Amino acid sequence: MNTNAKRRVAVVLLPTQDTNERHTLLHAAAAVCLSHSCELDIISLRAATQSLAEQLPDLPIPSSWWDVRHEGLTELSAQGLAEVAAQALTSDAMAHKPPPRIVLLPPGPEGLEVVARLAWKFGGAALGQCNALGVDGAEVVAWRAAFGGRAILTLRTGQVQCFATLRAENQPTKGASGITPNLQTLVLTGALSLPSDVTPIAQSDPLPAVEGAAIVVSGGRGMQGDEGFGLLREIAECLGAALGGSLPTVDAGWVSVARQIGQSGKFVSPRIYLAVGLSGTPQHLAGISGTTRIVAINKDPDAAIFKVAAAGVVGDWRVVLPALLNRLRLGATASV
Amino acid sequence: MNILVLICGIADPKYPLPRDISVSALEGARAAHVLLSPFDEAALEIALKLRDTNPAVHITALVLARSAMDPLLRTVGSLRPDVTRGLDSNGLPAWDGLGMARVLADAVSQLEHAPDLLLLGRELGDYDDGTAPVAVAQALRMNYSKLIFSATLEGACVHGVRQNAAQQESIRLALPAVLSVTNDARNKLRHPLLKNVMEVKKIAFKVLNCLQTTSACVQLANVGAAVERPRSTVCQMVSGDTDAQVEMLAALLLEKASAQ
Repeated sequence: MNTNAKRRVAVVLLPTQDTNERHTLLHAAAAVCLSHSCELDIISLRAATQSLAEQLPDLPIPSSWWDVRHEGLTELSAQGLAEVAAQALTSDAMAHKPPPRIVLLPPGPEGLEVVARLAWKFGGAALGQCNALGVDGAEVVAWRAAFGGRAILTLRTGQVQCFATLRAENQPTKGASGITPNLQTLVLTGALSLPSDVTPIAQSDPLPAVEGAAIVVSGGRGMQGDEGFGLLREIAECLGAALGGSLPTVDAGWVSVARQIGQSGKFVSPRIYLAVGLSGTPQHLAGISGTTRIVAINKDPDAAIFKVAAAGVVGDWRVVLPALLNRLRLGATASV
Repeated sequence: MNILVLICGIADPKYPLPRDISVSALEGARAAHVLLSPFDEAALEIALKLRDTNPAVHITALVLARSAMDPLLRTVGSLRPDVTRGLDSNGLPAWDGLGMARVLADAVSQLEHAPDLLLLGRELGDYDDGTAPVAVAQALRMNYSKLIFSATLEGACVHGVRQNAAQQESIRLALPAVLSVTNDARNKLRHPLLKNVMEVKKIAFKVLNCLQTTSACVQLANVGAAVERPRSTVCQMVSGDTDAQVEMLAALLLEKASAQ
């Protein structure tokens, strides 16, 4: 094994990520590098038509920011992104360095698909959706949830290259001093697979996505039907918040799978998570950041959600939600 | 048209995990209370729907099973796929998506009917978080799409509806292809007929052996109970009548909303 290979970590940023998600992941990756004396390369992928609009974040360690463009990357599929990432990792510009020991991607289905495709291509290890990882001697160690978030696995591998998504919880400290990454441009021209035959289906959902939302209004099986979720949607609209739900509510068709929160769904880190009719199973809580303030409404005073909530109301949503909606419609001025 | 459905099953989440968690204890928990995951169910239902509309469709269900008596085999068999086979799950590296993909690709090569379409849940069992399905497609060199709600066959292509970020899309893939399926209210698994439930009790299911030479490149060093993450505050229960409770909730939410 090339022991030098232990000394680099690469982060692959996807063009579909928002700036907050990118910066959170980068700070988490920088923390891994700091703990294990690794160098950091940031591989930021963008489509042919996208411009480099973002300001590079200051990080606690020196790093290289590779602004990667590929003229053929018109469809932002995981397959295309994995192919461009693979070309970047093996490009002449990077070939003089040892291959990164750990390659990190953003959490979620897109990141996981890229992880699996890259690991397969490079004959490396796919560690999945990790909560934490590090280097221990010749091995990479990773921790990841299983059994619906009820168990934590400790994984070890001696593979030269490891690929994983990292669920980072801690937001970078605003105003903290740091070092701006060294920006380098990489234009790739290698062959890509033909894009898939994809047609968007028109939908009219004016609510923001759960990722990156400051407030998430979420419901569980206790909502018992579309009527309750209609109220949650109206409350979300009033607040400019995102609407979310647990897996059973997606199964029941009350909310879209794009809004599923939990171990099998999205991971969210809003400032406030309004949890209504949610019992607080580990599977669902696995999708909510530990830094989020949970405000729970549940008619069962012994519901597990109250053990993790910052504020709670014991009551029937049929009574509380209509009153809350009316109050929110009056707005902030009513309380003055 | 041969459709293969890969089924893994999960430990019923209604039952708590054993207090002293170990790999063998988790296997025991799964054996005692195994059921189809919502994603397994959705994959199986899509296959059955495709056969409903096209009698030429032949469904093979390959079920990861601890033995020929694994109840998951009977659950799947009662829904009458054309063939139900077990795949010996003992000792498989379920936590290693790529290792599992190699095992599954080998098992697929042992089947009588090479699949034109392979359907599986978006997570393959309790240990997987979504890397195994795409790795299976890589191992079998098949086209792949994820987060599929529904599928129809159109000649040499499969046409699916999928979730991509916040957007739903229609996608057409050339066969052979692998689709990883997500849960959807319009695709709930049908109930088996009672006569079929009774009939499968008499069936001795065939269980395939796994490739013995496969070694996981990721080792499971330890498994433990997830620890509830400490929160910085104790829950402040909002007392008073509904109006008082609502006033407090509204103040909290409006303050955060205005700070956006």
